Amino acid sequence: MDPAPLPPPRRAHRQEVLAGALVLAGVLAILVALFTLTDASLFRGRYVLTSRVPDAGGIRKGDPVQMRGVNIGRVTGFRIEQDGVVVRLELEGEYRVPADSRMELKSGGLLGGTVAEVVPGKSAQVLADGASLPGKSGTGALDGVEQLTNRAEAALSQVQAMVSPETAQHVATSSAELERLLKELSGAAVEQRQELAQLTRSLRRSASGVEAAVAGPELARAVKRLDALSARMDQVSASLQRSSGSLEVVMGRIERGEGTLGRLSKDDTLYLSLNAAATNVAKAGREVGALSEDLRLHPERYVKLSLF
Amino acid sequence: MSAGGQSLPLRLVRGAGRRGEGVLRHAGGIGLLALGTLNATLRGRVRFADVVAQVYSMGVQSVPLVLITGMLAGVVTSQQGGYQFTGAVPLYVLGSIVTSSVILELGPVMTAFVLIGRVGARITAELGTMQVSEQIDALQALGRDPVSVLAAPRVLAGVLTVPLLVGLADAAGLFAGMLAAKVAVGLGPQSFLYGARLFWHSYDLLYSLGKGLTFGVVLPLISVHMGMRTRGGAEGVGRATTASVVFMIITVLVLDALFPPLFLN
Repeated sequence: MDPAPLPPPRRAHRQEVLAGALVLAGVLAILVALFTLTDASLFRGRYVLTSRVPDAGGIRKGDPVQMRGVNIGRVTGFRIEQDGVVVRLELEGEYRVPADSRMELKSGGLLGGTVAEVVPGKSAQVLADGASLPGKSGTGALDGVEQLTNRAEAALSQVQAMVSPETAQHVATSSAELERLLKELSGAAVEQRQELAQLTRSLRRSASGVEAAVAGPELARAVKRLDALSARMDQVSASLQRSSGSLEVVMGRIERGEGTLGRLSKDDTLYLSLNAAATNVAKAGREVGALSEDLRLHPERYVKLSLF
Repeated sequence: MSAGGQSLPLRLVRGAGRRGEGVLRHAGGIGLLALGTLNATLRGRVRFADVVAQVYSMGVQSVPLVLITGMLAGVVTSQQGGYQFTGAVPLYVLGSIVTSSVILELGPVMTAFVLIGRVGARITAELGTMQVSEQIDALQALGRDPVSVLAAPRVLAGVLTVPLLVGLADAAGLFAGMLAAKVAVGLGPQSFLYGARLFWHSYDLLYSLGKGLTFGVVLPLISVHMGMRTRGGAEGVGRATTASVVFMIITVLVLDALFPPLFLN
């Protein structure tokens, strides 16, 4: 018995070709997607290095390999051994690693995962495909956070130790005292406020009195009087100045021995003459006294009265 | 005793029983169909030309729609991701988000939906019409096994083409998403690919193709099964087609939900 009829030959041939094209296109699409996403080493001239670390620190396949902050490849695999983990690094062919370089695993941040950091050496030689470089499990951003957390915990426990029941009691007592003090201060503030109000009122009254005095006619009159007084004082002062000048002239003349007073002050002769004259006068006085005494006692010696 | 005379609990139990019986009959029918297909394939009773014809109709003719769907999935994810993540996280993470979304989820599922609408419905309607017009009975009368002639080529074509179509959708979504990231948020292809590679696991692509393969087996089996059990003339064909599409959509979503716990982590 014949099977079901086949489609016409030409049409069947065309369908076969297109079905084959679909298969090729599908496979090609899968490969392109895969190579795009894995950045396959086959077409990119990559080379592989290995590094042994004591602890892989959570690094995953596909995590970046960096040298001086540049992504130069990715981690492609691990092998756990007796004394550590061998990390397989696939690096771009254009980046060569000096022979004396080393590798450190670092935390790349909250989202960045772990980074294999190649710390380049100074050698002129470069590592070839399949070579090994020394590695260490380094510290990164998240390790820093962990250290910070530990320190924060230590600080917190110290704070907790400080806050003992006694301290709490002291704080409570201090708080009660503080409250009392605040009440007293509040009362004092009320009193002060009242006094301040009174003072303000008093000041206001004084200010209005001063204002009235300043604005009144008495002050103007007093000022006028003061002005007149001041003018007269000026005149007196000028007169005094003139008198002082004259006195100065007189004194100068006396000083220089001019005139009577000058000579009196400078020439002793007059003084001596006057002294002698005074002595003579005193002597004459005494004699006059004796004479008058004699006259009183013996008038007959001097007065002779005869009537006839 | 009429149905209206029954008490409510009894009616509920009867309804649940009928539903349960229907589910079991569907499961059994699909299982037997799968076994028959496997048997026919292994015994070499499937004609290559039939498979090629189904690959053409199921695969080649679906390529434009699958490409457009995949590209739009990538573009939309990229735009939304860019909108959500600008200023929140380093923008290169967008590369990873678009890639993962398209490859893990949108590529396979959108392709499956395209195939449900374009291929599954057509297979059910085609076989349903053959069933109600007794062409399948005629085939059997002629000594041809309907499973070898009708079911196996479609299932084999599905197995072959759906993973390929998913691969095309993934690639289209990835590149369209990359372009959209450049246009929408100014994220260049280098940064996009840096982010995509930073979180990329090649297993994800295998997971995507595995989803495609699963859908490629399940969708033809359901559509063929629903078509071959069609009853009731033209109206029955319409009902069967609708039921088949609903059945396939639910199955795809359930399988999609089962994949992560089974194959991720």
